Amino acid sequence: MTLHHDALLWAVLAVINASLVVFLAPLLDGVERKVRARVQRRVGPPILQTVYDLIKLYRRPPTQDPSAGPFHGVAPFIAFPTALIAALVIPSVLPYRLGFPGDLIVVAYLLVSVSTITSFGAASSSIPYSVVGGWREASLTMASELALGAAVAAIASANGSLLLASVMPAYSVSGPKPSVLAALAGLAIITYVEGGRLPFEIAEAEPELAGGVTVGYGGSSLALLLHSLMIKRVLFTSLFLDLLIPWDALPVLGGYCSWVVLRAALFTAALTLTSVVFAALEASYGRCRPGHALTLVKRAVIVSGVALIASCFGI
Amino acid sequence: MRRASGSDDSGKGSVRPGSLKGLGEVLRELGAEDVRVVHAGAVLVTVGKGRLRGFVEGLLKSFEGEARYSTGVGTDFRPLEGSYAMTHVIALDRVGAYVLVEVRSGAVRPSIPSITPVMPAANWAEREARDMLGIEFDGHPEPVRLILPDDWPEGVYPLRKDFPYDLKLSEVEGVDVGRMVGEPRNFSVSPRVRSPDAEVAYASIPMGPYHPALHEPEYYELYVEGERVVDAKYRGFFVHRGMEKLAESRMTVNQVPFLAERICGICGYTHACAYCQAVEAAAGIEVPERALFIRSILLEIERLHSHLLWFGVAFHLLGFDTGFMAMWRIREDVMRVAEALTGNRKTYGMNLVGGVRRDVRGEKVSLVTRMLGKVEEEFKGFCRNALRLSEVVERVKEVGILTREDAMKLGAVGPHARASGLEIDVRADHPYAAYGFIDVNVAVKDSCDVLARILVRYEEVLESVRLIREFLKLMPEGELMAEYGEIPPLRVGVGVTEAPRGEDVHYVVTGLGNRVYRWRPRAPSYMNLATVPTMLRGERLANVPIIIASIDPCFSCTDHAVVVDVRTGARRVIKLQNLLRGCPP
Amino acid sequence: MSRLRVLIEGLSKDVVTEKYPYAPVEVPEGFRGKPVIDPSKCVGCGSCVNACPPNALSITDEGPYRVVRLFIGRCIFCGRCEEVCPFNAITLTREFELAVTDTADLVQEVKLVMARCAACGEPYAPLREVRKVAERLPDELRALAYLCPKCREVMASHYVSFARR
Repeated sequence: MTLHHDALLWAVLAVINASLVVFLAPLLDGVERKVRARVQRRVGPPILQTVYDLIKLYRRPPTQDPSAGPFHGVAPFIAFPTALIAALVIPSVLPYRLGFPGDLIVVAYLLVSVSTITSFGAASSSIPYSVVGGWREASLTMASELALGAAVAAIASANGSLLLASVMPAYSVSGPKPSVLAALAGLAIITYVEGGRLPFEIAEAEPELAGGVTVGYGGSSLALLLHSLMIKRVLFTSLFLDLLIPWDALPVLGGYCSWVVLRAALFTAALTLTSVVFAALEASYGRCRPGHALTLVKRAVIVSGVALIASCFGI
Repeated sequence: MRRASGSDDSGKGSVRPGSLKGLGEVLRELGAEDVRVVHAGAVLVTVGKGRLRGFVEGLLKSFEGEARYSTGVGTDFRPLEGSYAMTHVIALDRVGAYVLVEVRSGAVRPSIPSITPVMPAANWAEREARDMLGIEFDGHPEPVRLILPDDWPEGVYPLRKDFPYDLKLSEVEGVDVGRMVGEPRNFSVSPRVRSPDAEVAYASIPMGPYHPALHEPEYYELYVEGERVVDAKYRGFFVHRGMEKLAESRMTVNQVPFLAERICGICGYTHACAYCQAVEAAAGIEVPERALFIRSILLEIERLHSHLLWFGVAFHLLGFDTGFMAMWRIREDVMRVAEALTGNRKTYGMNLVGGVRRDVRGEKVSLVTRMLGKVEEEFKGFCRNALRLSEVVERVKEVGILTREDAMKLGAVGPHARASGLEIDVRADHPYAAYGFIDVNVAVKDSCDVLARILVRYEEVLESVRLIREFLKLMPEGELMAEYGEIPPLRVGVGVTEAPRGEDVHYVVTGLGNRVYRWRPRAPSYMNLATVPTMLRGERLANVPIIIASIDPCFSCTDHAVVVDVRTGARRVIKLQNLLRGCPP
Repeated sequence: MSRLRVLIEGLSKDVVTEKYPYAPVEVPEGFRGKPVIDPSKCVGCGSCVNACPPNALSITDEGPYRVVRLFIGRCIFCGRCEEVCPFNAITLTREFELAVTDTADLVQEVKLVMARCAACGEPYAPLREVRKVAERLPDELRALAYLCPKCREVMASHYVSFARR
């Protein structure tokens, strides 16, 4: 079912969608923690725990670091709105399209921005651990950026379009070509990596010396930072699901409203399932050394790069 | 395989005394003024100041490749004979004996020649004696503070007999506690002294005394270039608690085992055993065999829990929390069995001088056997998978190298030393408790890296399971406690055990009225910590925690001095551009 | 494959988290918990005080009483007091939930009435201890038990000086 372009309807759906993403993000994190706990034969925290943690942090004043660079303090306050804009633009639980040529690039750019802002914010800190963590996160982001760009370009090239609406799913125009499938594979890896999951969570590693990107923050700025990263995670997964599964092919059984609700429920279920699978996978991993982690991401780059090249040849 | 004392096929060393008496003769020839066998396995020699270095050099030459520095003890004998003494305890592992080299000094401005130039592992022991007793060691290459903070006032020596154990620094005449600043002035200077210019090029990352990666307070200063560690400095002794002074001041001989047990929250029982062994040897008390077997069983149970704990910590530091949870889950059964046998999960409270307080029989034996089966199966099963994960192995292979030569020179002990190819284990070399009745398989690897340390401990877990089964099988009936009268005063005793981390030495001089005149526990981590700067040089920053953890450091074990409430952390301003230089894009 | 096995092993077995504190936890027989003094048995001999490594047990004379005091805050639960008490007056229970909001709740006190010396009238030892000692003495020496150490010494020296063979 396709929907007529009613600008107001889209806007309303976009806002509701973004709000849903904002609330789903910590919930899904709670699911991941629960799954990880079960793999480790523990009871683990309740699924709402991350919500409670965020609320606790939001209620506290942000910490100040007078000896840090100016970007350090504002970074969370820039990252969060960026994440919100991304949540408005990327279709997730609710269906809608932004609908302008090149919105595919905008989407990729916004997602990457959140990481860039947070890692450079950390690198501006006065704490050596934070600086090292920020640089590690930045180098990882740059590598996965390449893979993301290549995968997106491959899909765009295969379908001959830079319009997100046209590539939902990625094989809608081109059919299930090898280049498209390879691009989707690369995208799956990047989705996992960009979620800050082991073995890639090198920037967050508290038992390591580098305390990660969050070390310099506390209180509400920490809440904004963590929340931004969680939203980024959900949006990456949503983008992947948008490109993988033909959601619009869902049959309409009642009116439009019931279709939306059903689609939303199924999408949420898909998000949850992805979280469960990723969390279980994560629980079986130790942490990579930064150099080693980059090597693994490079593999994703190669897969996506090959996809891109293949798509140029119509494969 | 266990080597019987006295037999050797390594071809090292030109001296092969068949008995302690023979050893005594060798020592006399090397220049000892007086030679005395204090008890089985320990010979006390008195050497004059002038001959000390020559004697030690001769000793090292005659027992080349096996003379190992165990510990050094400074004692204030002024109330009894008007002098200070420094006793160096040197282990001869192939011979199976300890040589106690005692040197005396006069009471006024006491000084003794340093043996550190010829035996580097004596470095810390001499600095400790200098801090706590005020004995100067002529010729020591690094005569700076070790135990006490840098701003501790001069002339105040806590282990001197005229310093009351409950004296507060604020009550000492001439000391203004308010003006003590808490900035370290002298650091443990590594042999590569850095010029001021060289320092500018490197960023220094302070790690400690409190850091999430560390489980106890310790202070490392890491000099890094990008992600590579160029140099490391260590400062410890933050958990010093005044135990030696406490035991020497207000405790009776049979109260000290309970204090000794609390030196460490992981290997407490081995300290209690080493202490009791020292007193029993000094006083000539023969512990009944059944008690020896019970002690051995509990010592191996402690080794099990300690190694499993360590595996968990190692996995955690590698980011593999699933492994951490699994190891500690397996360990939980060991703790419950310990609780059933002794009344507490960790502080067993089983020892008194002369024996043990509880029996292990009947239902308790079945508990142990069931636990052993479960631990063996689950541990083997999990490690089989975990040690195959590429990201885990990649982080420990060829990381944190400590060459065999360095390990020997610095006096490394325990699994740490055995992972660098040194075949030393107190259970086999100087058998104690019931270890003389069985053969111990000593696990040795020679890849010298963190992986080797993991594999050594892996084998030791399985070996402990086997040993406990053997002990249960062979344990004879009998008494649990020896009968004895008052402990004879002023007898020297050395009690040594193989703690989970290595050789644990307790030196005791008995005192009057059932008390202790001098007690010096030397935990294995004391020796192994000295190897950390060597292992860290040239390593990546990310590897630092796992390398430090690979020696299984027990800082509580290492520290036992007086706690002073003064901040000793240092804050350095990090030049950001220095960190950026050399960082990969 | 090893990775998969790690996952399967974790998921196929039960969760091991205990429900405590929402469910009680059992401690084994022989667990060394809080010591408790039985005031009806304690004679105030002080054996426990001598044996106690951290000095959690103390004895002070306060007026007409000898007070045996146990401060749980210092106790290390070693059980030496239980081991050395000649009258089984102090035993270790299996209680380990000992947190309190008032440190006074960590103190156990036994107040023992002191016996007064038959000669000089000074209090010198708990009456119960004196009685227990007295019943163990042969008849001709029993009276000595009711004297304080100083007066006893004086009496004993009289015996020595004026003993009749």
